[in-house]
Amino acid sequence: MPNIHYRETMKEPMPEPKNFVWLGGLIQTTDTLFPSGGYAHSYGLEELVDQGRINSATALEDFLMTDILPALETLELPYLRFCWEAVQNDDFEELRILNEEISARKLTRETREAGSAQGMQLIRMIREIYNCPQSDEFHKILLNNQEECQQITATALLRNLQKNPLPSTLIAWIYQAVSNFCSASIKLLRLGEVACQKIIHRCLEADRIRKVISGSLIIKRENAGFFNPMLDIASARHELAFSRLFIS
Amino acid sequence: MKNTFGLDGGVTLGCRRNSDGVPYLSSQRFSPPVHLSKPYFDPDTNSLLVNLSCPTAGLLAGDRMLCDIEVTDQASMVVTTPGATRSHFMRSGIARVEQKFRVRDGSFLEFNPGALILQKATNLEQVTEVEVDKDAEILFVEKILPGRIAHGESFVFQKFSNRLSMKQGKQLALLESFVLDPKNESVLAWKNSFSTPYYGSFYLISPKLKEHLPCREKVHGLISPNLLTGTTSLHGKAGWMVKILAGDPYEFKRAMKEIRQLLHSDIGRTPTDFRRY
Repeated sequence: MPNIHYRETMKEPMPEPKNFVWLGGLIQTTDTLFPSGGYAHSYGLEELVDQGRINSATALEDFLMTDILPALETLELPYLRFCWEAVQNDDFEELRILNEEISARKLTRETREAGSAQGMQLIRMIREIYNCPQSDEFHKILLNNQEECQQITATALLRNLQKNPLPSTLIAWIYQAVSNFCSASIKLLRLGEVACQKIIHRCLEADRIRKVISGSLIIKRENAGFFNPMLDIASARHELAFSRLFIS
Repeated sequence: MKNTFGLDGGVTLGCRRNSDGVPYLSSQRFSPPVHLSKPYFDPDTNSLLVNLSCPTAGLLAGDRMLCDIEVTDQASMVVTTPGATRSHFMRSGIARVEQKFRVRDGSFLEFNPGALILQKATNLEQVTEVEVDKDAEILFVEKILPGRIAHGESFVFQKFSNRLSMKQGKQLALLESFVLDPKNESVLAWKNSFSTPYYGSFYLISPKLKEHLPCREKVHGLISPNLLTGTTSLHGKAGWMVKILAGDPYEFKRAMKEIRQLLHSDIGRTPTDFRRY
């Protein structure tokens, strides 16, 4: 029986390389080995744990479902799409404006600086690893204007270079956001890896992802945003926390 | 369905200083749903206090209210309302509030209205644009209640869309926008903070506070089981933002008053008495 299966598989035509060749780059750059700097940030989670508002795997999962996924849907994914489109159009002036808007929409200093630290690191890695004239040019524009690259903006440059389709680009962003919180929770809540993987799995369930992505695609630029005063306050308070494990 | 009873009005104010250095209204125009009381000059703070009131007792479907204020010539102006602004029940249609504030030439504006109450079935859209010269200052305050909490009404409004953009010179300092709809998860983060959550925020843009906000630790120190406060700097070091969540009205009111005093003190000013008797 195994032989029959083997022969039948071999009879199928090899898919066109262009249909999957982008996947290797996507996996490489979303892998935890890729130095994105995300491991050093909790994005306000540390303060929420300190306040006792998140104290278990269940509370973390609720937080991701009710606070983080909707914020991705209405703020980060739309801006990733706007940046992705600007890169596709080679419109660096528009990309620069979007980059500034992203900084202004990150309401707390820690989240803004976390985004720019990771963005600058990512654009540096793109220029180290790949031949990317677009990243070189945009980097030069930012330097001339003494501005920093936000992670969303750098990700749009990378995914365009890798020829990632937009839906895959958005799913990868959701995965990275959710896994960053889970990674921080290993230290903050002493969650095990299996517990974290279960949470990530539920966050990435097909129906949920479909809803988040389809919702994000209809958000207009002027309406992009999410109201989470609790997380804003937690992030703001973390800036003055007496002791902390994470930068944000 | 268009509501033909909606009011399209508002207020346009200009504030300057006269030859004695006293601020006065250099231009004014207002129409329902806004009424302008007689301005009061507070000699202790050298500020002009203006109370905006609402003769229709709040916003109704189809209303469009424009609030356009410009302060120039090193004048100091404080704009408030005698009470809360109510966005009322709407069977259909929406109310829209457009606010524009420009603070020029070393001037100061405090815009500090009463709380906005999002009553049952209301549908409100609010857009605010703030432009502050690099040598000018603004203290912009928002207070939002998710309903008539004292009557047990909470998170039964229809929709609230809020957009705020702030610029210092040509530089973006803050963009904050959200659409709240109690039928989806957009309100959960707010709703889950306290059983009856009162929300307030201060946005202070000033060239005096680029690196440091002296009262920051004091504001953070106000935290209690019923009160959360957080301060952070705005993009481009334009100024500071303070957010407040409270579980009861007394702590909320006390914290808003204390933080106002602390912020005024940090920019070398004394808060003007709102003269609500």
